[in-house]
Amino acid sequence: MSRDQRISKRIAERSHTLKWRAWIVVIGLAALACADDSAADDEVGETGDGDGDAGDGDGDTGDGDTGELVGECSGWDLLSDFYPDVSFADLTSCNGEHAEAIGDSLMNFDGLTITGDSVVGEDGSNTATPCVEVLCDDDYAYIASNALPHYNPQAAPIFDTVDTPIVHRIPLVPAAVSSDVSADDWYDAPGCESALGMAVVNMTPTMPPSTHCWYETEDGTANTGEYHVTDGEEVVHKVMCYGQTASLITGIPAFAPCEEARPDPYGSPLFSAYEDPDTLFVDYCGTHPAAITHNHWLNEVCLAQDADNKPANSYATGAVSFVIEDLDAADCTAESDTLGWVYDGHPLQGGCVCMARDGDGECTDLRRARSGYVYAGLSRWANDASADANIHADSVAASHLGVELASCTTRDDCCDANTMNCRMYCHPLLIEDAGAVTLEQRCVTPDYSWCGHEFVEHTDVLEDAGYVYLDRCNGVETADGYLYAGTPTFPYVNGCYKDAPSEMAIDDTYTRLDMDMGGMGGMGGGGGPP
Amino acid sequence: MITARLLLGVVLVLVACDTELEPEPPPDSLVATRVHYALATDWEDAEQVDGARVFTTDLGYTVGLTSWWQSTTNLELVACTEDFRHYGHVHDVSQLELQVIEELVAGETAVVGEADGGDQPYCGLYQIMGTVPLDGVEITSRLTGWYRAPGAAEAVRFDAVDTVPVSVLPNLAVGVWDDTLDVDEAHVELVRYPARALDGLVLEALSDLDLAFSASQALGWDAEVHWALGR
Repeated sequence: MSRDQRISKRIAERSHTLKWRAWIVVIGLAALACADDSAADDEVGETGDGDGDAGDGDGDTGDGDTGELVGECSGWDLLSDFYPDVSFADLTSCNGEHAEAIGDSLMNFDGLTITGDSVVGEDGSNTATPCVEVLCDDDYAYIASNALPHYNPQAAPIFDTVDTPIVHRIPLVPAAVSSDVSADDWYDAPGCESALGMAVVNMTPTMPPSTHCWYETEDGTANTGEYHVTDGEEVVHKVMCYGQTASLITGIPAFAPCEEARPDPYGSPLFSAYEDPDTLFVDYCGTHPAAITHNHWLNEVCLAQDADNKPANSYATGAVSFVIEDLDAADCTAESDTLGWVYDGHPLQGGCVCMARDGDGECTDLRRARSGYVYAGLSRWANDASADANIHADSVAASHLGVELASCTTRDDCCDANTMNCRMYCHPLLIEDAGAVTLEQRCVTPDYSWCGHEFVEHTDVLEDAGYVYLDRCNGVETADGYLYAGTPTFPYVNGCYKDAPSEMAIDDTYTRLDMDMGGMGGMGGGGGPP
Repeated sequence: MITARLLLGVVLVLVACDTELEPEPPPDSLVATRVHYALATDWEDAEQVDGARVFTTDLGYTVGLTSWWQSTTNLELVACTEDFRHYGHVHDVSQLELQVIEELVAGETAVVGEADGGDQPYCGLYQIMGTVPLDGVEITSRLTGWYRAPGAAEAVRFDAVDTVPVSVLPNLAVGVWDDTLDVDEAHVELVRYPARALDGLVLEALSDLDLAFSASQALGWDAEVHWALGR
């Protein structure tokens, strides 16, 4: 059995065990209820009320300081599976500036439990305990987590939220990508024409269309090219087309900008979630469950911490703060916190970054980090010379993409009468108009994000007052070194790795689990028993 | 003759007893081609005082609710075989999209619509409490009233509005037969218990947003799904 198969099997077994345990407890409770109708109601506690659910002992059972040597989080169970060269005994508490910064940034879950219809707890209840812990060796920080959110899950409860172990490996010293690796050409995007063709006829694809992200079929017979990509000057490492790119301070992985082949083919789920919050496909903190609960975008208010590193705000407070126009406004008044750690060792920060400091360390140039990508349209790949008539300009214009990039105020402006089946949204995003980048509401498709967006070179990344434009990877060299920024527009989190990432950058364990559950490339509906 | 009549009487009594001892079993699963949805409210032991529903929470707060506007924007039965970790969830044929905003303090039951049913047994009800316009503002819920903390003399008034959607997925309770329904027709009633919805909340520590959001969420979590099937 391969390493990947072994890890997948252990995660799947854990999930099955939790569900069976839940059923056994449910059946037991039902039997008790039959025997005694007056059985006490087993109400669950509120998030963060400190009632200390007994659970299984997971979580930070130490003194409340994150980063303590505790090793009880389920993520540690997979340490040697993910990293055969490492055993738990090799790890110690994290010392040194960078290692301590990682430890200090993690959220403190002490006394916190979550509950909800979709939560599957170890004791069979709808209550679970999130955990995140960090340990180090000489070269890496290891962030172990069970990938549970720090608030009661809010995404559609048709997906279970289950303790899912993961251990992230973060280099303590970022190392440059080797200059002699093979790399794809950034400007060559094979597949975007076929993506347009599939979009026109609303066909579900079987492969991601772009070379800007990494994907390989399970049998290894097809992939999206090399691990690296270059613009001719710099070589960077791709992110997976669908998969983890970083550990957030909660231990939950950030995922690359794309969804799977469904429901929005290799597109961002933000468009539908923002258009219709009632769908709750992703919650307003940017999180939703899958084979592993993950974030597609960041919400600083949701991830804010108090003086004890505990969550500072409720989910509802975070949810109402997620307004794209506000998050793009050049009105930063305070530096954003670190929200995660990318697999090449650089921090992932909120949207307000410091570009210069004075001799006392005070920030003298605080700016809003703005993505370097604009929405340029999937229609731009139309080609009258193609053998595929679906991508001829007149076919594209006659399709739902005919209104792409039109100004709009509501979705009705983009969808005529049949909004339900329309693939277009009226969404605020960055566009380039006469050389200027602005945030505007336009009719756009969520599908094939890498093909719909285009990176715009800025000769001076500080050219617009109050803003700094990020590089292809959604990062920038700041007064405090290189960092990635969470943005409200594509690619939302890091879009590639400036430096050499750990093996987590291409580990498809959780992607495969999703496919096994009928996700990427699946043929729709149905599925087995829960 | 008397003995024979006595024996007959005893047999009839025994038959009657047997009928009572073995009631007809309830339907073992909800499978119906037509589903009627209703929203109900049960205030349990809450008192009605000057138009307000007054009750005490488990933490000892005395609460008076003069109004509770609560939205419902989606009701949908979930098949027992639905893979809950399945991406690209396709809505069931039983989905009923609506724009209902109820005033729960009135305590009324309302039939809100109907939908087709599928051919698989159902196990849960997916409810979304999304945003619905009320007085020109898109809200999920709005609670107006007062509370008095344990030992406090003064009541604190609140007018709490939630604009954040909430979704819940309660399991179906045990069903019953209903001879007023046609064969393969079902009545599904979501029963909410508002007087429990503020349990566990330290009210003075909550913002108005969190109060309304927490109340809506607890309302959904504590709800029961009663159902009846025709035969």
